[in-house]
Amino acid sequence: MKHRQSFILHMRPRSFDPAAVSFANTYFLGFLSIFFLVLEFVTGAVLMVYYAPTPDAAYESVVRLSTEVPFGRLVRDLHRLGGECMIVVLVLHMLRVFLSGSYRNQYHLTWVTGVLLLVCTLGLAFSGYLLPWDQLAYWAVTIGTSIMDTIPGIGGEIGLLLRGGPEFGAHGLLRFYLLHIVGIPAVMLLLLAVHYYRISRLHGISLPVQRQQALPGGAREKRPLLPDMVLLDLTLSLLALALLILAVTYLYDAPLEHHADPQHTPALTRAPWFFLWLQGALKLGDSFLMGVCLPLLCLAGLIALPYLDRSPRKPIRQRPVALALLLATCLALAALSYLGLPRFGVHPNPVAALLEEVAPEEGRSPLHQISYADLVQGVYEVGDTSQNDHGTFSRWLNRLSQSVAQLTEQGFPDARGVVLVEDWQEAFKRITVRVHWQDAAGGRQPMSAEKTVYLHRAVVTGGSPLPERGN
Amino acid sequence: MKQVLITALCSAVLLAGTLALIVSGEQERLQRDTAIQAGKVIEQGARLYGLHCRTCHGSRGEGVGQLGPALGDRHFFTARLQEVGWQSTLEEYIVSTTTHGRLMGTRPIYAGNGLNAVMPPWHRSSGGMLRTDEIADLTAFIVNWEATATGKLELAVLALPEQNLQDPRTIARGEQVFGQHCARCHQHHPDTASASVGPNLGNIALAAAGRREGLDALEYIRESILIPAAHRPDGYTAIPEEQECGAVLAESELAAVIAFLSR
Repeated sequence: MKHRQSFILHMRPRSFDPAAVSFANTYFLGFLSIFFLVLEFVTGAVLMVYYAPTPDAAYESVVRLSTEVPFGRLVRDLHRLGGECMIVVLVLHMLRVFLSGSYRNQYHLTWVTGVLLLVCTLGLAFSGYLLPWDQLAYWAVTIGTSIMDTIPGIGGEIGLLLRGGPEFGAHGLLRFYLLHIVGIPAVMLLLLAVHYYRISRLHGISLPVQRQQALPGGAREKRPLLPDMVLLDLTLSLLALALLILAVTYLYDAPLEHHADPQHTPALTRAPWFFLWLQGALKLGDSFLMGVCLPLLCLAGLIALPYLDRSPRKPIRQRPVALALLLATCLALAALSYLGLPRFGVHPNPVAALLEEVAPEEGRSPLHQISYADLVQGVYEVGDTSQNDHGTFSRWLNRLSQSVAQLTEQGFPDARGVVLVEDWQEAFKRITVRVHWQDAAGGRQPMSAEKTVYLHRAVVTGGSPLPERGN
Repeated sequence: MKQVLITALCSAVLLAGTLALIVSGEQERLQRDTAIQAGKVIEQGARLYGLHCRTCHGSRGEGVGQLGPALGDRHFFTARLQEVGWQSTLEEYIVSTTTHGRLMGTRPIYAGNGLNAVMPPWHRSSGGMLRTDEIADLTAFIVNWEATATGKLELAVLALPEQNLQDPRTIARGEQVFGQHCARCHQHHPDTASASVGPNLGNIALAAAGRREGLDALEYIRESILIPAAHRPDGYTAIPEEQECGAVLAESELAAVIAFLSR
């Protein structure tokens, strides 16, 4: 037989059991995992060309991807969204295997390598999170690695080793970069080799238990690798790629906040969505117990699953314990993720919250959504309906007046708002939002707080040139 | 089989269409992103300016008395580079000045007190608090004043506190200034005969009183410092042309050195 000499045909058998490649049995989740892995390798290789892993140059090099590199933003968005999709696909893949009980019998090691592959993917997502070196990345990863410091005894050393110092700097960034591009991918490829080899060469795919019983092995008609399987893979890849590209073009932008500043902790730090559950758990108790022991316990449970559950395979409806366990886990993850949201458990001063909403530290403010031409220079009393001819700006002022009116009920008597719009430079305005109130406690002293937003026309209009209107 | 082939073809067409769409719009996308990024940089620069620069250069770049020159006036954009002999671009001048600070003022009124830099260095490498990218943001913001720069602004002169010339602290400060700026050419000994480029000023308080019609000792000394050749005694012809004397002194230093000399 010829294919024994061919590496590719060795990896991909010449023919496949139709049940093993039908959507109803696998949902193509294994294939999609590989698709995303390849996508991450390819886009990652392109990003490596432009990325500079030093604190001075990293942020700038990421900005340049969108301003100077043709298709640079597309590649960065694909890499980011692809990574997040990969986590989703891997979790769904694991769910399918769990529900069909496919981790039993000879599939123990396949399951274990699969779990480790998921851990590696989360590690890649975490290490890659730091690389843009913006405020979002810096503080999320700083908090993430500070969990390590809580391990008794060796925790401090591990933290130092990861960060390259007491706080993240050039060494820490380089370490995370190397982990991201060499360390974790290398481990992953090894694990993947085992995982894939056991499925494609040793045991074949584990089918749902009903079908396994219905069809005695060997009697089935096979589907050939060429052209059927190759065409199927190609179709799936093309389709997934096209959908992803459409998504990043119209729906998704990889975030990039301000340059990382170790001296300035942002008002809100938020873990990426796939670690929100961990952030929620950290709010509940001791950092060591919740941040280190709990994830390790979950991991140990997942790895031990095929060794603990040795009952014969049954459809999921006949496994009430497993189903209950699964539902409980999903609910717990959802609840913890909800707890992890920044708004939970933090009650900021209502005035500060209002001003932060008007002039957020990061991202576009609501003022950036207003038509630039409507922002006419002047002093505007919030709630004064006589100045109602400035279109979107007036509508925004009306909404603001409702929020300010609520302040009076929240313990800020006589709350008033003033908005100052000033032409500061060409195509550049300064907008000051000030809130006045009477201090309820201290003898009705007049109090005030304010925040300033700077608006450049190009940011407001999304960079498209405007016909000249006034300023 | 045929079905699979058709699906594959459809997917290929979909992908090709998507790619064509993106390729055709990419040039415009780059321009838009560049414009947005430029705007964001100016917004960030404005924030930093409000935090760090406003106190000395005015919140709208109008300058503040003798603290700092205007940055939002026409003079800054047309004449400053020649004034300081800067060979490169205005952007680089701003980056360099912000990074390293300035030891000497660009004009006599910003001359400082001779001990501290007129403008402190702002980059971290020089002991400041800003990063390279923040200085770039600031520069973009300041340069953005060009289109709306006002005519050359008249700087309001700050009312300086009256100096008490009898105050021993003023006299001591004057002696210090004399040592730094005058002692290269002048001596200050009550008795010794002069043996230097300029006259011995040990007895100038007495000598200056009646030397010129209508000038008292203080005015005589002040004028002589500001314009060394104005009241030249006989025998001192070698006043070097490049010697500026009073031009490098702040008003407070000038008063102090007069207090010292007229004691």
